[in-house]
Amino acid sequence: MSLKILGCGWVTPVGRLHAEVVSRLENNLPASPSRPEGYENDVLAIDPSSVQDVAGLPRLRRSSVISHFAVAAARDALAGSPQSAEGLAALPLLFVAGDGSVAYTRRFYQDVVERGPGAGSPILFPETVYNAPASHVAAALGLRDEALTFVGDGAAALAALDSASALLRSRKEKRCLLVAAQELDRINASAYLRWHLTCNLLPSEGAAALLLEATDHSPGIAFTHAGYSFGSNRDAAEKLLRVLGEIPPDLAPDACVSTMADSRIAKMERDAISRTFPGISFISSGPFFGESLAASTMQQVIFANHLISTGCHRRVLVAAAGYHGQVCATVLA
Amino acid sequence: MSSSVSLPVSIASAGCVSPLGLDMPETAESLRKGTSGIGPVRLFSVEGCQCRTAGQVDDRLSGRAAEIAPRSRRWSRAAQMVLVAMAEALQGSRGFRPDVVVIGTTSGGMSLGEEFFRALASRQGVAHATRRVRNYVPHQPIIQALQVFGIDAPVRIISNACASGSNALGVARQLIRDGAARRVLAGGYDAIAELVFAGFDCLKASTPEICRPFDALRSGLALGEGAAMFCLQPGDAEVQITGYGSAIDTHHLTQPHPSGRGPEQAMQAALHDARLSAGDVDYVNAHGTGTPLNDSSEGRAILNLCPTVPVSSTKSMTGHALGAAGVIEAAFSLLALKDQFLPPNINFRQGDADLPLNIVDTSRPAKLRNVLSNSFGFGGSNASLILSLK
Repeated sequence: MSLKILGCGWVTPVGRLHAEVVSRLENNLPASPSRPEGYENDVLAIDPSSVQDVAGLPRLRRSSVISHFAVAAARDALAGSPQSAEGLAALPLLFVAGDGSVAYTRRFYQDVVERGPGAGSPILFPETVYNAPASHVAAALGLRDEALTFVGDGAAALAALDSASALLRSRKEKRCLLVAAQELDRINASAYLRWHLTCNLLPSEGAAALLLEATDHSPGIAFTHAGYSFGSNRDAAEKLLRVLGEIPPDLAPDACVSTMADSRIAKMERDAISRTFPGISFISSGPFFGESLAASTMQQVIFANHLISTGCHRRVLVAAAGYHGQVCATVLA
Repeated sequence: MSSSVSLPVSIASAGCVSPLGLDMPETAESLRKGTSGIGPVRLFSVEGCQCRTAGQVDDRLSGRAAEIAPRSRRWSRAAQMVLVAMAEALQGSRGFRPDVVVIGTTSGGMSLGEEFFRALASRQGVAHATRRVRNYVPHQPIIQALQVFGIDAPVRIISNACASGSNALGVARQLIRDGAARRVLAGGYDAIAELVFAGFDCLKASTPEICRPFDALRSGLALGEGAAMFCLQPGDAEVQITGYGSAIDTHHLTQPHPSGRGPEQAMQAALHDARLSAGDVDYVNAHGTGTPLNDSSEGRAILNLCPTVPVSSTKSMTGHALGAAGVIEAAFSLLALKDQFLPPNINFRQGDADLPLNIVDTSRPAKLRNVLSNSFGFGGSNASLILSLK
């Protein structure tokens, strides 16, 4: 069974419209770094005007921007495949959150620390819960069925594709919506800086959404994997080699959309891929999407799908080994 | 076309850490006695909060964890809870090697995030807090514990607010039932953290008095904490997870629809999955947080579906363990089925005239075959599980 991508949407540091984002990638026009007030380092932030169309929705008026990104990407993913109200009510939602609503979490805790526990805001607190953005997506689109929020990094996004595959195998309805989103705040940007997590890859924010349909024979996501847990970079390399070794020979990729980050784990990742698939070409997405955990990895998947659908490549790999201690990979064909 | 495979999902073994005990036998004894695990908060200052109590795991936790892995003395309390619960579950199923691990949690390593924030704000101890905050990632307590047992299976973290634990068990059930996984280690954890405590307090969801779910004078919840783990596999073990239902109610981010439509949809879906009718349910382990709106919404759903079934909220004894609540209460339901008794809804004094439920106010023996366990949460997350005796 493969997963056909019926529709996709993304909110990225290089834009939101499909043609705009692809053009930036194809013409090598990277995102522009900025350093918002209070930040210790440069980041790739989203221009709020790009999601202005959803900011006024009733459920989003008080929500953090992660929910705006998620709803905008989800609406774009569904735009090409209009659904009836009944169809939407029966559409399951899988959501992958990186750090969740970290801006509200920091603000809420700042109030508590500075002014005491009684000063916590009852408006901010519910928005700090990991599944708040998924709830807003469901409310904005009229979804009523199962809605699961997974937490994690890029590997979690790829593993969520495997979860989508398993979910659709068990259901009569063969479609689901998969959304990944991340927002930046000075607290997570500071943490990434101090962990030397991203090296030449700037922390970023945004969202990506896929409307998926399970099919037997169709171009799309042809290989998914549940992944493995790892403890060290060396262990991660071994686990990634195991995942890559399970890709069927007829799906051997000829290209890989990669962050091309300078971190040790990213280099390890590319080394494992090159050893398994000699001659594979790497296409850099890092300067355009940055590091927004599950969101940027899902954006890589969307770009990989573009490379397939335009005939640039026949089989494209996206792999991830992240700080959540998981490795995973997927192949689009 | 749905999957043609439909395998029975057996509970091979389980482990549980909660304010009622550090293992399943201790927990069973506390449930039968109706012991309260709720007391004054001792982990951080609650000065300025209207609520001063919570269900907290016994201080023996650290020592118990260290007996399993001495290095766990340096771990967070959440990771120690996970380790102890996982050890008990794996002890009960020698040689169990999961294909995947599915975990529910809401706050992960929140206390470490708080520490990092305080360090940055005060510019003191930043390097130390930076090292520790990497364990804030909700996968970390699970990976630390899995490494003790030499397991490298992938970890799925589900964070669906207070329904997370039940969702984790439900997803695990789907994977095994459909043949997508042979063995799943499923569970959940949450440790009390200052930020979360302040959050529920500012919402005025926490009680300044005593947690009395479904009582006419109920005034709010008490927070709790803990972890539970289940080794699940196909087969005909004594107790099986036979049903799972999940639905989202987008009425409001924190308040359920008064009609109980979300809970009812999840309960009906679980019954459908289990191929049971409402009359087959012998006991409902309710979500029952003790807040006026939540109990009212859930109570209506129960009255609509199975009006005479015995109902109790064990949160009256443990407090609300958030993302771990669903798995802890599934462990309680497992004990109820195995030992054939009804766990009590303690502190229940006066029935709510609008909710004429059959509340179990004291523990008593009962013939149980099917138990329905509910978990509902922020964001309109609703999940129901059915556990059945073979």
